[in-house]
Amino acid sequence: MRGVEHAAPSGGPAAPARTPDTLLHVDGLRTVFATDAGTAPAVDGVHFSIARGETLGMVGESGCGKSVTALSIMRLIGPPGRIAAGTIAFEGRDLLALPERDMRRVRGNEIAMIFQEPMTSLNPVLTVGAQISEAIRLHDRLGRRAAWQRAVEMLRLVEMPDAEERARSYPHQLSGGMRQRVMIAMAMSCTPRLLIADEPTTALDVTIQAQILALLADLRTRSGMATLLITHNLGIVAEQADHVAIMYAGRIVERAPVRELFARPLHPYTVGLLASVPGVGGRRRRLDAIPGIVPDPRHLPSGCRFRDRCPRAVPACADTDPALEERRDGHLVACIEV
Amino acid sequence: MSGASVPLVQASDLRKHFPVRGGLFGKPRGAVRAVDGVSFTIGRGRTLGLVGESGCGKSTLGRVLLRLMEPTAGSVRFDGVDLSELTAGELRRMRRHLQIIFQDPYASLNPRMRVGAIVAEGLEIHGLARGEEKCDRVIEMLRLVGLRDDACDRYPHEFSGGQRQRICIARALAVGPRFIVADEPVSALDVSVQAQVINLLQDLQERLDLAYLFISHDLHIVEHVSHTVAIMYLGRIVETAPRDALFARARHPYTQALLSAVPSTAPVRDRQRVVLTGDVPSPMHPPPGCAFHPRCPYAEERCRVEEPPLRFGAGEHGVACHVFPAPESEDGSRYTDGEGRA
Repeated sequence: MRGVEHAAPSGGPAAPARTPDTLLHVDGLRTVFATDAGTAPAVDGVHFSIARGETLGMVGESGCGKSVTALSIMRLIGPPGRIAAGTIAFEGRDLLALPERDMRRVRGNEIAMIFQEPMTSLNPVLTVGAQISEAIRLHDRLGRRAAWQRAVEMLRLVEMPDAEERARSYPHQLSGGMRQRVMIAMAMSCTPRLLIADEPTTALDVTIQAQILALLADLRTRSGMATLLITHNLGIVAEQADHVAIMYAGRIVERAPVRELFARPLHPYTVGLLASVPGVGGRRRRLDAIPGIVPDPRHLPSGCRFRDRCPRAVPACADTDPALEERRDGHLVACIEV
Repeated sequence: MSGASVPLVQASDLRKHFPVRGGLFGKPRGAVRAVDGVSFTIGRGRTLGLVGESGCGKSTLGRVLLRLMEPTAGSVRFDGVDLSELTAGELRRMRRHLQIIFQDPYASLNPRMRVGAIVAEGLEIHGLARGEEKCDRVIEMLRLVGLRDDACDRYPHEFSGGQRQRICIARALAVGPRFIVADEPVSALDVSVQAQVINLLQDLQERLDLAYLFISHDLHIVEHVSHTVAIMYLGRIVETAPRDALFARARHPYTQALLSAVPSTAPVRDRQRVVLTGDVPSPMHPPPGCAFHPRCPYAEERCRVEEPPLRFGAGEHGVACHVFPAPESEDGSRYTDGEGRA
């Protein structure tokens, strides 16, 4: 990880205090991508932490940097991208300073990840049982047969119908919901302390989505693992998360406990997001759309990145890059107007 | 919808079965009944919201409706004219009134054509405008959907997803349609942009008196845009009602499960959730009786053998269920708690 300037801990209120309970602590993370037209900071100064057993919902629209944040934690950013600054402390160790060999042990063993499209994350020519056992054997010294037994157990854990038989199925023989169960089984097989779930139900139907979300919630209570839940769906966050971070153009613009955020959204972007979803806040004739589109990360506006879409923007917004500051107990906002 | 004249769109007992071939000589082994006896009407300037999960046949229904696919059986009448009786030429002339918007604005625009040419293509095919007039019409359409004039000379890849969906809408509108099938038109878009496109579709409906078949899996959006809602499961409509009745007094257990499965930002965290077990069965081997019975928490003996027809009760509320039939009175509030079982 050369090229990482270890930012001095920015003791301000934006960086939450590290407590013994803190599992993951991300400080000043900046991940950039080199493009023909210049450097694009996909993640640009992100601070947050996740306590043991806690679920942090990370919400934002495509391109806001939420998936890049997740991949940065796993150190799965390849060229043309690189992590340019920041620290990612997991259990007190800085993941960005670990040699790759040690990092490989962290992945899967301590931090596991599931993705949106299970079909593209599974090997089409291996049975799902073989793939789960492979993951198990990478981290545990188990024989082939024992690993297979463990794989079947994992499939039972994720409530796969006919687990024994399904272990011998190939990914294409399974439905989307079952494939996501396989991914979760694989992720859970090494009892991670942190699960990163990147849009885990976006490709699924609502009734199947409800099944998978119920399963994830159940696994969380049983195993006590923490979760970073990345989604664009505010409803999922409201039901699943303990804390919420709203991301916009590479930054966290608001962070709060879940009930607080939905009861008192402060940032104009959060307010706009909630107003643009139908079925929330009663039936309206028209939706209050946020005008315009997400800015190009290579040409960000000066000052606040949301200002040219913001109904409350004032001239000062062009000059000040607002820092994430605590306004109420545990409720942080990056806006000079609230 | 109860105008004196005929409804704009009238589908009667539409069916679309896809033969499944197999074996050495490709003999038909069976059929996937993607659409299996669907009837509905849509009035001028009205929206029918069609909800269902993947594989339930809702997109096939949209295509069969426009005769982009030939139906296996059944008929579609547009403004009283039976589309299946039209010759190829007549159908082509009719097409300018029937347009479609697809889910994926990335895949449904030719990447090698400039936006101006994409929007003008329909005008050329139908001989509606040429030369200066055509250019004016293209500009008018682009403005109508909120794009700048200079979009004309640019290529689709230069636009964001929401802007591309606007291009698709401009293309559909250029020929002056009266009915648009909108097949998951905002599913590929970001939340804040979804709202822009939904508002646009509703504004255009008001200005141009358009009728929509709005296909979506998102119940919140369907509730927002529809006048009438139909719920599809495995090729059939299992429940249909005017919007307010459907969302306030859903009867079919599948509709109830769908409604309860939608994650909500409303602070009530402990509401009763019906989590269905199992997956949608294969439409090639639908279960006997009611197709929903293997996942239904209320299934009785007759549900396993006898297929429930879509029966209408009060207030144009139709339900295909033995256990929860359509309400007999419009004041169906007493039905919502499941007490009104037959």
